[in-house]
Parts: sequence; C-alpha cells; structure tokens
Amino acid sequence: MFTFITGGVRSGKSSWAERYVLKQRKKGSRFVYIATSQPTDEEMKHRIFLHQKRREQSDVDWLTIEQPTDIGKLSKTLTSNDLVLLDCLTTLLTNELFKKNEDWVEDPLYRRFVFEKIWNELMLFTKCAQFVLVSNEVCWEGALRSKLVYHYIRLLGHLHQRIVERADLAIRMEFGVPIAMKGELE
Amino acid sequence: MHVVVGGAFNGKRKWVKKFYALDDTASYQWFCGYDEQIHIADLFHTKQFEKITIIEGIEQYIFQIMNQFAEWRNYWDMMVEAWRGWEKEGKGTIVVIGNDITKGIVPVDQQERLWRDACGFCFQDLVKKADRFDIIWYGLNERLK
Repeated sequence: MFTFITGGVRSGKSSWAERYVLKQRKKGSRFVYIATSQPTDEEMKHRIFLHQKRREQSDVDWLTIEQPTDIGKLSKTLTSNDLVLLDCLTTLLTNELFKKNEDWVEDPLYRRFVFEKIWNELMLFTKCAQFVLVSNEVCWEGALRSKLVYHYIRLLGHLHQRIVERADLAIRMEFGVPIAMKGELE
Repeated sequence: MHVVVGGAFNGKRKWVKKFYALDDTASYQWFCGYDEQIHIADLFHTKQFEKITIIEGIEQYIFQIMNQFAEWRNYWDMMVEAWRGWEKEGKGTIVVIGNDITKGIVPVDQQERLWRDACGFCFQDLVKKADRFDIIWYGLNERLK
C-alpha cells in the first residue's frame, strides 16, 4: 500500500501520517521512520526534536533512520512487514539537488537524473506493507521568475504527478482535515 | 466553455489532452501563452478556431492585455463575448487553461500584484460563464461546475 500526503506547512500532515501508520499495525509490524531533514538552524533543530518527542511518546517503538539523501540504500534492510513513513519529499529533493551546489540549475541532465533517481528509490519502498510519503505543497506561487525556484517547483510538481498516478491513496491535507483525492479513507 | 485551473506543473495540459482525446488525428487549435511570442489578437480571430480550441496559459494573455490597454477590462469582456458568440453558433468548445497564481505571498512588485489581482478577477469571470470547471491536482481533476 502506497500512500501520498501533501499539504501546506503546519497543516498537520506529519502527525496525521504517524497516526495513520499506527492504525495499520498488524502482528509482526515494524514502524520505520525515515527522516530526510538536516538541521540548519536552531528552529529546525527544535522542530525535529518535537517530531522525535512525539514518536518517543507513542506506545510503539519507532525505528528512526536519518537519511538525507540516497534513500535507496535502505531498501535492503526493509521487509514486507514494515510500515514506513518518509518525511519528507521536499527536503529529499533539495538535498539531492544541492549535492551539486547550485550547478543543477543550469544542468538539465542532472535534474533529469535526480528526478529518475528519486522516483526509482521511492518505488523500492512499495514492497513494504505500508509506505507513507509526506510532501509539501509549494506549487501555488506565481513568482516563478527565479530560475532556481522554477526548476525546483517543476521537478517537485512532476514528481507529485507521477506519485499520485502510482499511489493507492493520495491525501490533500487542509489545516488538519485530510481529503482523499484518490482512494478511500476508512 | 470549459475552464481548467490548477497550480503550476500539476498536469493541466496532459489532462486536457487526455480528456478531449487530442491525439495526432484530432483536429484542434491550441493557443499557448507560454510561447516566446504571443499575440492577443489571435484570440479574437474566431474564424481560425477549430471544433476544440484550447487557450493555454490564459494568465500570460491577461498579463499582456493589462500591459497594453488602459481599459483592459473592456478588452477582456469583448474577447470573452467573442468566444461565447462563436460557441453559441454551435461551432465548437473553447477550453481555457489557467495557472492559478492567486495563492502565493503578496508580491512586492506592483505590476506582479496587479497581475495577480487581474487573474483572480478574470478566472472568476470565466468560471461564471463556463459550462464546466475543473481544478487539476497532480493529474486528478476535481469538477466544481
């Protein structure tokens, strides 16, 4: 089962995703949390801390893996019993793109490579009992004047399109209210 | 008239092509606001319209109209009336695709700000006059009218 969740910042995506994963619990389930964020300042560290604390306080043990790039490396360690939550696609995309500094803005081949790499690596996780992918809504900006922003939004938009096509359940989160755009919420 | 709106890179063009089965064999007219050179006058030449006529990137045409005409709203009304007149003659359907630029942070630049306002006004006007209205979200449509 492949579930995709997107929405604005602070729309309750992450906490909903966590609750959703917990509900899928079966005998032998393992809860895996893949964090892609790299803290760059204190506020970010604090946010990550709050996410960690929330998972610590839940009644199950989460296996937390920090993997800012190359998520495909994890697929060998995952099994079909795993319930996997990856938070989030936007930071993963940023991390992959900026491996090459800002050169990617002028490098269509590299952008294409990153797009296919992320897609292929994400698909490795669909073997798990549940794969929940969290992303962020960033397509509503009119100001696409900056080349960097334009290409970033373009890549993310195309990834979202492909993901929604493949997903069993696609959720648009509006201020804490999940809307099933594809599939059914039980 | 069929209005199709959505965020950038949400698959609006792809959805329209599929919905109207616009393959190589279909006859249709496609105006694209993202072309290097766009001519607003093209949108008045209804004689050149085909049974399915698509106007993609309407926000770009709106930008041009605003910058070229002080009384741009009159120009806009005339244009939309020309489309409706053409449709009333039973000649075909006009599909207008717009990139929803109305939802970001308020732009600092005045021109950008006015453009955004104009898009809000024009999209609302189009939807009011449309027979069908869809919002596209990553390739999926949500029919609102």
